[in-house]
Amino acid sequence: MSNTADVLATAENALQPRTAAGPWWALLGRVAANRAALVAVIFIAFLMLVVAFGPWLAPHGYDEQFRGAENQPPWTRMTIEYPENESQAGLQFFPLGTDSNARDTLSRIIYGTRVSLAVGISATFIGLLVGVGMGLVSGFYGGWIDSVCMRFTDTVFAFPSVLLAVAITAIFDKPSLWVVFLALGLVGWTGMARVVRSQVLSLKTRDYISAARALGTGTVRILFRHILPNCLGPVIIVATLSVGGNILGEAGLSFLGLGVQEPYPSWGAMLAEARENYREAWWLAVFPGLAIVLTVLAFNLLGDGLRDALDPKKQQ
Amino acid sequence: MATFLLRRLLQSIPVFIGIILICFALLKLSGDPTNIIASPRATAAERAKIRESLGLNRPWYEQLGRYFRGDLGDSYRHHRPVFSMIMEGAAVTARVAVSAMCIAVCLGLFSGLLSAYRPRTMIDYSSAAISSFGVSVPAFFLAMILTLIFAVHLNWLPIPRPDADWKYLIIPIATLGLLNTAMLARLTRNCMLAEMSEGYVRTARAKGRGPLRTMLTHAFPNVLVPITTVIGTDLAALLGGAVLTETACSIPGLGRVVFQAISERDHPVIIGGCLFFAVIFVTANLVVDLFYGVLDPRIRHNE
Repeated sequence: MSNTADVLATAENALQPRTAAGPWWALLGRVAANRAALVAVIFIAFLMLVVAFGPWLAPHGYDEQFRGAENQPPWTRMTIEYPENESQAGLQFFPLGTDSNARDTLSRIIYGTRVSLAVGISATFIGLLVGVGMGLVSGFYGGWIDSVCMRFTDTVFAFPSVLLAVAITAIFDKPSLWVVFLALGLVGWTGMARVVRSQVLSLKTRDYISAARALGTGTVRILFRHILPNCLGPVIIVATLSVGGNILGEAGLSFLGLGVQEPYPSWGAMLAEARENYREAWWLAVFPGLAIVLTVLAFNLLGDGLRDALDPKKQQ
Repeated sequence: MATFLLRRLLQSIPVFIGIILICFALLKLSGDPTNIIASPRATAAERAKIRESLGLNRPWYEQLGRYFRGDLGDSYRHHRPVFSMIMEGAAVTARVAVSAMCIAVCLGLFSGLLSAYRPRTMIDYSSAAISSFGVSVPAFFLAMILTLIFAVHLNWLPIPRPDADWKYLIIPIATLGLLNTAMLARLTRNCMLAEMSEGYVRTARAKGRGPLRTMLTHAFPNVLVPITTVIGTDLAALLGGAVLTETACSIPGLGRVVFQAISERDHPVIIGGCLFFAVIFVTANLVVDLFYGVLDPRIRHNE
């Protein structure tokens, strides 16, 4: 008879989550097989490049003003009447036109990509921490802890999210990007908490958890080594979808004047500026708006693609 | 039924008390509103006078106790009763929200059912593509685009201005209606497709029921529960005021009132607004729960 310690060690090993590259590559393959998700991945990679190399890609600075070239329509080539420095002399090209402060729209959109993606991803990360923590505790402990956590989640969910984020930004005196991260993260964790909780509720009754418990594994280790890795699929889906939601949220807060402050551009702030004169200068609203729509769409399509790829019912 | 209603109403009381307490505590922590209301050069005496006129010099339990007596007080800024300010905003918002939801329910259910009736066809794919766009568009951008097309370019509608007249509300209604249509269409399609693969649907078809009839009389009633839930929460969210759409279309709705109150630290209006949201949310949930019993006889409220 093999000794008991050996059996226990093998059992403990078997309980470890698999970390081999296999399942991840398989997942990637299934996502890539979905054409919409593949296009989305390529677009997101392109956005990452724009974020990384923005200053080199942008034809002009985000706050560079070309006096005399206010509100030029897209595809304008013109000589600046009053060049402020040497680089402005000669023929200038504005592929997406200029705004009422005579700044190049394309350059501002390129710099705005940084704000959108930074907020989208960081706020998702904050939401992930709060939501996963809340969901794990709520689902695992159950009882009155669960009731309190879930009532709290319901209350936050019930609140108009934009107004809640506005209220959080109002607590701080000066609007800044950090406040936006925090506000969106603190508003957007409810979906994650519910998903994680429902996963935990079903996982904690499984035999392998009882086995881990019988081996004397501590609660924290069970939560983080045995339960959390098995929630990863739904967590990744919800996180991807919430990147899109947070980009929309940032655009909304900026639209209300609470995000990044002038002269640094953000897509939502560009739309807010455009409110003044977009009826005459349509490009000021259309291009930043399209940037938002396409980016959010890409993250949503990727999230949908991941959902299909991770759905056991759809696997052949 | 009556006991169910009574129990739910009793259960909502702690929610209201909690919201008043949390709002009150947060607002007290967020600083003295006189700093924003008084001019920066105001003397200490002038500030004290403002504090007295706003009732801020009274002990905190008196300031808090007022809310529990059902008195929302007056706005710090506009010196009008908070209740009437909120009701004025809510009246405009309700018009927009209810009309938008009617559009969304009709179009969303129709296109979702159409997709589910002919899955994986051009109709389904184009409807899915439009829905994907619909859930990715910021409301304020859609409102601006609709204004550009229908008010500026085609000249069919007036340019938005702060007015609650119907003709100025068409663009915000269309905006919110279309956005919610996209969400409902997606939901309806997904729920219906899951339902259509159930055994009882196959049985009905095997018994010779036509495909359309099977879908409408067998599968559709079974997806009404999730759909009603979403319609209820969406309508509640819309009634809470769509700040962004209201800002983009400059309509004086509830979202604007509360947004302005937050930026101006107008505490009584903020608390009043939060309470109003809570009432809307609790009512919407209650109505949805009551509908469950009607839509699905398996759900009973008496135990």
